[in-house]
Amino acid sequence: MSMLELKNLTKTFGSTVAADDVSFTIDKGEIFGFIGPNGAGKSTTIRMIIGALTQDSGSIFLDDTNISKDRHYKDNISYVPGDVNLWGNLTGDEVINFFMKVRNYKNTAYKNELIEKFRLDPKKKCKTYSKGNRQKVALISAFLTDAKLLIFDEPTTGLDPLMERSFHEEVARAKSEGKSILLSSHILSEVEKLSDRIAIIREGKIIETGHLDELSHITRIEYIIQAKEDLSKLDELPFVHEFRVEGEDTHVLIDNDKAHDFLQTLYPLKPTKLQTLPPRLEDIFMRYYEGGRDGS
Amino acid sequence: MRHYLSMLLRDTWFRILMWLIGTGGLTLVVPPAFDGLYSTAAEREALRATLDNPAMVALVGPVPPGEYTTAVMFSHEMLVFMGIIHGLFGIMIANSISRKMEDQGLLEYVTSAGITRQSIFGSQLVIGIGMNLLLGTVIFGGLTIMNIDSFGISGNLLYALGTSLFGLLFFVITLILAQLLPASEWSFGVSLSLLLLFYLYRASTDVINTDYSVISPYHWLSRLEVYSSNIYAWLWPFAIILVLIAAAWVLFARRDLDDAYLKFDLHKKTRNIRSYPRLQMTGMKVLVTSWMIGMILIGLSYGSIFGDLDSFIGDTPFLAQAMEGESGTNPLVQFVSTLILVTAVVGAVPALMITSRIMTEEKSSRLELLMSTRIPRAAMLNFHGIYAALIGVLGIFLSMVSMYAASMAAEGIDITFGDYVMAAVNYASPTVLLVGLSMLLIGLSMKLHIVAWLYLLYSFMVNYLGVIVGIDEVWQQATPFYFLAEVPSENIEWAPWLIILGIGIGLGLAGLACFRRRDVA
Repeated sequence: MSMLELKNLTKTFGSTVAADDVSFTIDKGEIFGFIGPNGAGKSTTIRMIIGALTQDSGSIFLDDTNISKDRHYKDNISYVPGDVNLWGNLTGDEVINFFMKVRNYKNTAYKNELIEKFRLDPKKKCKTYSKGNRQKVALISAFLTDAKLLIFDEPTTGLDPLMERSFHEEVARAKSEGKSILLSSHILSEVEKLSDRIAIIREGKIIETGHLDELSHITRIEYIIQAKEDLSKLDELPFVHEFRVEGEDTHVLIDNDKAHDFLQTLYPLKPTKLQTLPPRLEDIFMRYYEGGRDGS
Repeated sequence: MRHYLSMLLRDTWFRILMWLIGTGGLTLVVPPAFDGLYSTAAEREALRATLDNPAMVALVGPVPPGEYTTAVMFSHEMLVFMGIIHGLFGIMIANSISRKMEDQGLLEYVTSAGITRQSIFGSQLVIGIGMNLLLGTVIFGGLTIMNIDSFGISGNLLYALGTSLFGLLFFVITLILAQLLPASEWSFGVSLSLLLLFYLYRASTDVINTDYSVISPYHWLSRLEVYSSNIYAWLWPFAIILVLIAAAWVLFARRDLDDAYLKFDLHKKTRNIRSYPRLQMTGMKVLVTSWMIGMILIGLSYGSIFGDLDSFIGDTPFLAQAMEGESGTNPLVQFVSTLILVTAVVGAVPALMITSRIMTEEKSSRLELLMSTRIPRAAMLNFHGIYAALIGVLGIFLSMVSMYAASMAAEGIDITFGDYVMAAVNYASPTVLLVGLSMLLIGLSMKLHIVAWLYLLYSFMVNYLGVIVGIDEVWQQATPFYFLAEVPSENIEWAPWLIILGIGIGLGLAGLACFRRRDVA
């Protein structure tokens, strides 16, 4: 069932341990979110999968075959790097065509559809493209494939919200075709929206893996409240964090697994406005660091 | 302007420092070396006679009148040749702080922070003037401190002023091109072409009639007659720098950022780039074409002087003797063979540039994107190696053919078309060796690749200087060229040819094996 399996991958650069015993599995037809702050080891892990780096120890299985024993495993991979650089003198169209030829993919109708969808002007030279446009060229090229595993490293930085949505739609479409997707990001909301499961990496180590709702114990949700009664006593509760008042609004962060307790406390205070903001990665890590301190 | 200037300096000081050390060092090691090599006036006269022939005039300029002292010898052999280096210094730095920064969006960025156009242009100028002034001071100071006989203070000053103004001239020319042309590749390419074209133009007019050379700034350096007559008046033509500065400012002030006065809209049609080789060949088209034209020009310019060589060598017993060698062959053919050898070393430059291209892919992390597809890494490097060897050999072949074509009218040269072809064949194997070395170094580490360039530079110096100053043979043994026959004065020797070729292929294969295993940056 697994499309990609990483077993105990370790990679060091000098004295820095960029990936430390990294293991996870991506199932077939699954969108897997890979999150962590910049420099946590996301790109190092991905670059081992695509063969740019050789791991010091551990192994990688694609479709249950060790990639070191399969010279053609890259036929099943399509990849978009985080920082896309293209050939300045080639047009976007030429680059997309090049990757289609290399990947032996012939569906030009889908290509035209994607160009339309991402609103790319393909006749321009790559050196005149903005970062967002270069990203579009790479994304379009990556979707034009029969590969079973798509790997995106920070795919939406540089895309505007509309294009971000187009990207999400295409990811969902790839999933519906049975493809697996590895989606690396430091934006939790994006991963949360798309992913079936996630792994969190910090300082080279995987610290959590699982369904996001299983992981909800480590997240906090921000609530924005207005109420008829005095809200200040909320600040004293153990599951309420970063209490602050902004004009009419009161902002609080609530441990996700204590939502029930929080709402029960809130109800008697006669709330007139209740708005939630999705959890942010920083909040997760904040919680994590606090947890680490408590444990030590 | 102070803030922008200090930021620019922090960004460029190291490169400037490297250039100062390199250029200053290269200039200052020569006088003591010359001083020991030719201690008597008779020896120097003999050398002067050697240099007074069309081939050498084409390389270093006309022989100055008056006594040929060590100092005059220094300025004669160095000034024009070092002009290329000083010019390159100006071009590289000017381009990096003008059009390149603009292409990267940095100029727009600092403009938005309230830095004015005046500050930007002013800072660029200050760097250009400052760095050349500094280099001039280093050279003047160094020459004066060494205090070698016949090196007068006035001559030292003139040498330093001449080279500094030459560097500044090309700095300013690049600034103008940075306004005219749409991208930094263009401004760099065109200014570099101007630097080389002025040199080649002077090379031919110096041989034919120096009156025509006056257009070329290199000739102004020759006319300074440094250390003999010290004609300061020939610094005046450099006053054109002031006009060029004014022009560059007007052009810069009157255009939008990222805009250009000359724009080219080439290939509108979508090209069909199906494979990695095709991708790279498209990307290297300009590089390969310009080098092939360059190789043809080198062949033509050498070939066109062969007619004058004959009478010249006959009149110069020193040279005739030097060129005769053990085999007792025709000295003229011997001389041509040496020129062909130097041409072959130059022909390896485009080959190394082609292998280096894969590192450009790697540095820009495009290699990572490419290798995430089914294209094997080793296949990519392998393509660069084979293409480099083919283009390297083609370049040598083209220069041989054009040398033959240009020398057809010359009498008394007993070299057939077949001989030229065999010469090209002869130097194919060291080209493969250099390419193989380059591939091995790329396979090991990007940082090591500089060794390939240093080795090529070394081969060039040894084989080029070897002709002029008769350098010790031990130095030549470290280059593959030493072991080959000097075609066409000798017949090709297949045994060393095959061994060198084999070593080259072996190095290349080792490079492929290493490259497959190492981490991609």
